[in-house]
Amino acid sequence: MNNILSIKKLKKKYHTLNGEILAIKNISLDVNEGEIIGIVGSSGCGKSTLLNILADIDKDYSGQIIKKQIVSAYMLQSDALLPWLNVLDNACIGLKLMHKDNEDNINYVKNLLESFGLKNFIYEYPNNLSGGMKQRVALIRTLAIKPDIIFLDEPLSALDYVTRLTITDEIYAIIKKMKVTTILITHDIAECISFCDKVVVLSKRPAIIKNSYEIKLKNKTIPSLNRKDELFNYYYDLVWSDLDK
Amino acid sequence: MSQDQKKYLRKIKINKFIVLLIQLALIITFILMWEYLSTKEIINSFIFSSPSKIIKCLYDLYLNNNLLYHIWITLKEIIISFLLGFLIGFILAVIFYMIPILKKIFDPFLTLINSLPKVSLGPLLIIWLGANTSSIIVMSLLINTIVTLISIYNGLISTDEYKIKMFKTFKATKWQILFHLVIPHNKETIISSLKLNISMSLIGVIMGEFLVSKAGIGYLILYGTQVFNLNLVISGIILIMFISFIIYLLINTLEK
Ligand SMILES: Nc1ncnc2c1ncn2[C@@H]1O[C@H](COP(=O)(O)OP(=O)(O)OP(=O)(O)O)[C@@H](O)[C@H]1O
Ligand SMILES: [Mg+2]
Repeated sequence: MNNILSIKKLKKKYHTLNGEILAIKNISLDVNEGEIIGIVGSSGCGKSTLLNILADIDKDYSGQIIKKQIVSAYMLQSDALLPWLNVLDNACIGLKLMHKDNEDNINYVKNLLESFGLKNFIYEYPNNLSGGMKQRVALIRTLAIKPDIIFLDEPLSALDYVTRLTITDEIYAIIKKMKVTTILITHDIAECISFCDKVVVLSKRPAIIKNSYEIKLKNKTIPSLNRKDELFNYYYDLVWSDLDK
Repeated sequence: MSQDQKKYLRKIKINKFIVLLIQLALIITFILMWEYLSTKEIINSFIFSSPSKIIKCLYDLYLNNNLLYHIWITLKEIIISFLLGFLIGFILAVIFYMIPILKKIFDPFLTLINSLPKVSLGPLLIIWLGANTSSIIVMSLLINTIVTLISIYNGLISTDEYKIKMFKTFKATKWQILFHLVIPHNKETIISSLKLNISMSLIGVIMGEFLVSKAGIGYLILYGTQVFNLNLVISGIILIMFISFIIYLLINTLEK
């Protein structure tokens, strides 16, 4: 397996007027090509901080991040769609900002939108879409730049419960199908176990890796089916007992 | 369309019509009462004037005193100070947004200037700039620029954090964030600051004309006061009302 991202002894402090906050104490992690890694940890333990560093938004840290020449993309909790652009233009905004909005790439995005159930909405505006559809557009916007790795920070947590259940499989099926390396943060242990190849449990702040588990569940394409796997509860209990509450 | 829906729409239409009707009735009653009370000398027609006197006064002005010229002068001053004030305010807001430390440095001064009654600067303006149109425009700019600056700046800094972060994940530059996100995101703020700006310009220009002017509606009002021609004063006020009403309609149609 090909290593595409390597984190070595990462440490991160925030400086505030009231003093320093050590957010990440020591994290080392190797990410292989095609792997889907889930990160769980209690609220405020430093998960978003970690992703911001990996995605180059935050460059103030100590330790090493070794990345090959890779394109990375980041999807947030909010869909952050621009209401004045239609679905296609929204999905292409990353391409545009990176000056890669040539015809081939735009057609590629169109195809993505079509194959993921947005065929009739390509020229609609975000206000006319349901919450789940918006999140799908946001994911396609992330995938549009053909990233080698994507970072997802609680991508579904802004959705209501019912939408979330129905869209989870769709979103994760897209990612599985594209075979893109993924790091996913979520509060939902079940979601994490059913979708990821590996689950990393972080301690409470300052974050270190408490444990990590290779997940070997049967279904590789439809995450929700894994919830019926006999091993599912076994993994669930392991992760749950590791989590600082 | 169902019967119920039709009924509903008709009800709304009728409602609108009634409101309009009552508004018109109020205006007409007011004008008639005013006319009646003043011709019967129940109110003093010399100080309170009357609609017929005002119409006559405006007509005389039109025939003998270049009414259109005065209106044009005032309009011109409003348009110039509106455009300049908006442009300067907008550009400063963007500069402050892009360079936050500048905003921090100038913040107290802005508050100071903003809270200062601008009329008090009038006499200085006249001495520095002379008793001419530029004093009037600068007076108006003092009022509208800062209001524009503050309202647009507040819009810019409240741009959705998530969207900015999304742009950063695509390695967007500061300028890309500004032109592709922050400015379009604030289209509505900018339009409402245009509205605010135009009424501020009107206030500023009339204030300026009160201080120094050789022509314009403010000048007519001031002149009327000096010669105690209250028909002229009230005619001027009505002209201003008219102008601001037309500007208001204009912006409303532009908005659509
Ligand atoms: N800009 C900042 N300045 C100072 N402290 C910060 C900053 N951002 C985050 N922190 C602190 O660092 C810690 C980790 O924050 P982070 O957002 O990474 O947590 P998280 O694991 O993503 O939490 P959640 O599950 O609630 O999203 C928190 O305790 C937070 O208070
Ligand atoms: Mg977070």
